[in-house]
Amino acid sequence: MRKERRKGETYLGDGEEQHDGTNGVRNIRVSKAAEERAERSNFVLNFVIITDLSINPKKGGLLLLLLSTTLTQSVRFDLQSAHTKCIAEDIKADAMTVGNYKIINPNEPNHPMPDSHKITVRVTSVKGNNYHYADRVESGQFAFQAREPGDYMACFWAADHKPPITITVDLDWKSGVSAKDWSNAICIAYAKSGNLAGFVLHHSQKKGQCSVNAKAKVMQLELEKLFETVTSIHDEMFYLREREEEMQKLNVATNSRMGFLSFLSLVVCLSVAGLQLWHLKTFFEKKKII
Amino acid sequence: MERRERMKFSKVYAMVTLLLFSFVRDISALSVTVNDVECVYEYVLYEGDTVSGNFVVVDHDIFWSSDHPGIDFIVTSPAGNTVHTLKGTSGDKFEFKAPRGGMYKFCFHNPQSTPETVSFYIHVGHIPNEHDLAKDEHLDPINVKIAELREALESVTAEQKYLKARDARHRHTNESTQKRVIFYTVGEYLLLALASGLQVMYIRRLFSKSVGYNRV
Repeated sequence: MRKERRKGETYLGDGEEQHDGTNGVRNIRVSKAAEERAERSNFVLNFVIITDLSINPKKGGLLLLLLSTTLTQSVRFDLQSAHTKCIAEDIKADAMTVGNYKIINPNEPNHPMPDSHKITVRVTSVKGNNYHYADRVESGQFAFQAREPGDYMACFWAADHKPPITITVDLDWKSGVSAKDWSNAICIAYAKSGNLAGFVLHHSQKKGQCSVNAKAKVMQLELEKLFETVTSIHDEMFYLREREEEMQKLNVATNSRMGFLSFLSLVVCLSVAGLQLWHLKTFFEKKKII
Repeated sequence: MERRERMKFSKVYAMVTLLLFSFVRDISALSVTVNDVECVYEYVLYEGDTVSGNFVVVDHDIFWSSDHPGIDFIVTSPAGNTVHTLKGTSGDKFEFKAPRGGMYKFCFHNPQSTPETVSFYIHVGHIPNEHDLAKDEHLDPINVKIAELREALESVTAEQKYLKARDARHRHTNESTQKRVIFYTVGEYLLLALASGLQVMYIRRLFSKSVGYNRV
């Protein structure tokens, strides 16, 4: 289902839209400068709710909601007609991945996209399972949970066109999971801004009115995110350490295997030579030459 | 015990994927297959932003051929001039200050015909300075410090992604070495046996009755 993500709404994976059950949106413009900057930069800061089957032994695998903010800046690449381009990422198991792709309109901003600019998208896993498929679309989004660790690939294919055209595709790929319960923390905020200062407040789910103490809340958010970053860096170090250990084991195994095989090659060489000598000796004796 | 360990392991995995989750102006470490030229565009908002990143050529299936000489990496500014160049490397880090805002082009050139897979990571970092502080009345000096801290953590994250990609490349090399060791050794044995068998057959033929009686 192709739906443009409208500002002020939270979305849940595959194009479903779900309001957070509150009464609506109240715009509070904190700074005009931030607004202008956002217009110039044309990207939005929005909140994405991603559910993850977090492995928390205490809660026994309940669905925990992640609430986090991302400034979605995407990667762009050119696609020639009748060519395929694939972008892959190495994702761990049980990681949530969200992707948004769209074709950049080569025409004037108000004119419609030319009909020839359509792409076919397929997202596959390591083993070849199909996670998302869209045929001849201009934009779309997908979300999936990685069942097995490995390279996940999003392939884009542009249909053939008589004068070969180049389509610019904008892909926003975010992967990762943070299962944290933010529901008791702060208001859900949604902002359209280039910096931390400006944002729009929703009504909170639990409490009534949110306080307009914007700066402190945002700072709290930022610091909590930094703390999470540090934790994840720490965990990534553990992961790298494990990988290094595996590789060391592999190297040691290769080393010992090579030593054994060299010794074996010496044995094979000598035995082959011995067999040769024995066979020729009996042959010559049979022929009564020796 | 095993179940708890397995759960802990997957929890570590789940937490590790936090790293891949971008917070500010970030993309995950993506890989792309470079046949000849592959270009990626990234938008830099402010002039003076530090653009940092790294890329590693994670080549695979190097069983028969020798190591790849490396790929070229060229960064072009929106004005068209080259900002940063790296030639003939199999992976490196880069960092530069963007002279102006706009769409920057990051291109990988593959001099050979064999396709290579490149895993790259690009990060555009912005720290608000006094000019921004003066313009925007809601920006606190503490936001500058938070931004600096965030950028520092991002550089650690980028370094980890680089190490991870290099580790993957190293792993490919090691697995290829193992396969080569087995294959070449077994091939050597077979060739040795074949050579000696041919020798024996040749000598037998020389002494056989059908080929002249006393010619040898």
